[in-house]
Amino acid sequence: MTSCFRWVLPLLFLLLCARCAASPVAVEADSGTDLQVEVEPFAQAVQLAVAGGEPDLGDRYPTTVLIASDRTPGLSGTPGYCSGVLVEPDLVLSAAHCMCLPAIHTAKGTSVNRSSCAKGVRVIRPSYEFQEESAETAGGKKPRRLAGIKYPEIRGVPFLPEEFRVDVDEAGTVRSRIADFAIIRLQKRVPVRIDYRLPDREVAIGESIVMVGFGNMRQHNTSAAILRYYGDNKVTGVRLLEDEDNPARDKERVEIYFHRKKTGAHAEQGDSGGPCFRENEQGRFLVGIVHSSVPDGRTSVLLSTFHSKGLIDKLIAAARAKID
Amino acid sequence: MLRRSLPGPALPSLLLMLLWGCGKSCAGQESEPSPLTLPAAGSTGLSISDEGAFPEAVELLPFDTSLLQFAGERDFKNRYSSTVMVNRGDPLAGAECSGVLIGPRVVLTAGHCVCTPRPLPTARTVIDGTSCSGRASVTTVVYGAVRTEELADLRIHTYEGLVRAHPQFELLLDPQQTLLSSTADLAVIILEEPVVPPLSVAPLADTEIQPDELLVMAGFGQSKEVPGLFGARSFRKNRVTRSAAPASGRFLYEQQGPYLYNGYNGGPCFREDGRGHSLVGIASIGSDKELSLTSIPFHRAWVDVELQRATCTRNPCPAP
Repeated sequence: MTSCFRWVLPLLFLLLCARCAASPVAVEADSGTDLQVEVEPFAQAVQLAVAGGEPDLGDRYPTTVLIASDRTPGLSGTPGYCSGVLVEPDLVLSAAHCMCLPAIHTAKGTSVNRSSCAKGVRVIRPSYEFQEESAETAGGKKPRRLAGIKYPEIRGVPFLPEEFRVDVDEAGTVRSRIADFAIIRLQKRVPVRIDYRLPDREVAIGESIVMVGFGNMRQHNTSAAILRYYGDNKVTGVRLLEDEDNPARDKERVEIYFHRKKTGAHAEQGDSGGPCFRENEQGRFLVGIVHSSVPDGRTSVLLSTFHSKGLIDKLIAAARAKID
Repeated sequence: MLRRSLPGPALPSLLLMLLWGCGKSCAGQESEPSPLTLPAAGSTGLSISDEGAFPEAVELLPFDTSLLQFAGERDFKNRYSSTVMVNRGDPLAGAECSGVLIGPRVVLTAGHCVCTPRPLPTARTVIDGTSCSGRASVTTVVYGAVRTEELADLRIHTYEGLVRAHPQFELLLDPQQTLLSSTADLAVIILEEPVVPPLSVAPLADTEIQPDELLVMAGFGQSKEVPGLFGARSFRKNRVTRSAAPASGRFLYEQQGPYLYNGYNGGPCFREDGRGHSLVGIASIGSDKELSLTSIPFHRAWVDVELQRATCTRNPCPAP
């Protein structure tokens, strides 16, 4: 895998689904003929749309965890919350930038690398309890009611790639990230079965992908929840981003776009690092982790695990090699 | 294979492949994965010079909770467990409003929390007792082990109840949603079953609010700028500035700090003294300029009637 993409040249591959949606956009073909291609009308609504999906109260995605990073020593500010996925009972895969929030906030016009990121995190896997419904509702079907949430936490140490970098412009906007993966080694094992495998192929346009995360679920622009949500999306584009400085890093920058369907999910703050699964007759496959989103409230971006398997394996090896 | 298929770095932009075969699976509801096809060498893929076809993605940051400081301090010690979440929709979506238990079956909240705005022909908006929800749900929250600065284990219980707004309740808003007038912004929710211990019921204050008095506001705050966290009850101290108008039962209060936080709608305002806390007001709707609350001592007669009605076991209850 690694060598295959080493020499990928600065290019973007763009694969768009032709008949996904609404407004026609004219695209000029090589031959000069105008093709009417229908693509989703991007960025029509600027507001953050209601994040769709539904709460995972049935523990359908038990490997998806909440990550609260420690404050980086010497930095003040709030560390923030992200999502992640257990790849082994004592290893969590997430996004590297999740460990670097106070640093990213203050890094105007500079870059953040792994030295200014948290050296410790808490990994939390909430468990839910339910209210017993009274007998009178026996006839009608009433949804289960939440009666409690426990947030058991396990401490862990994050391992970030040496080449990881976040560029922040003068205005404080994050411009780009490189090698945005992290593996967290936990102090003890989480009693959970890893119920998915890594994929043997890249995601395909039009494919359904389930996104899971603890993101800041905004409803009516006001509410946030530290509850695990999941939602279905369709992949609408795959592109390989260039890294002019170092073409070898291209392999870590595959972005996969998807649009939510009516009931689908949309990545919000806090969903970063959460898993995206392919689910079919062969089982469940971890195809990517949530990376960014488009402010149209419809499009989210993930980083491909298939494409970055070499990097993830390297991080796992580094985490395993550490002697406590 | 792939590297051979790609044009050199001089080619600046991108290659657009249209996958004609995916149309069916994209348009349909059911997923039908189509294989990913990478462009082959010399393929007749379409090239466009504009990158705009791919939407500009915003890099997601971790969920930053630093703004929560404006909502106050988290009530993880269960000091104000009488403060509840009030919802007309799904309680899991987070509190639409706050409220306070004043009896085992009675929750006091703001009228505008449970009644729907109606447009007037004058482009103004009115919220009054004629458009209230019949029912609302009330969710109590008690905290257990504290895990992080923002997270503690929690036990919640959701109750259904009947809504009754104060008979004089009326809010008038201009087209910019600025408050023009406000009368008795109060409502009760009468729960179908009484709450279970260890939840406390807030005692009512006997004496009227005084200007310059320091009150404790509590609630499951959320505002446009500061999103609430599900089940996170906060409290903070605010100073009453003055009565909004003579004999109106409405007081204005200010918040310490740079940010005006309006997220406690319907939540309680407590007076604290050496013996504990007592309920003096309910946070009203906030305009962008000032924060206001509705006095409970001022509306005490109505509150007492509602408390008495809720204890009556006959149906219908006799008029007091």
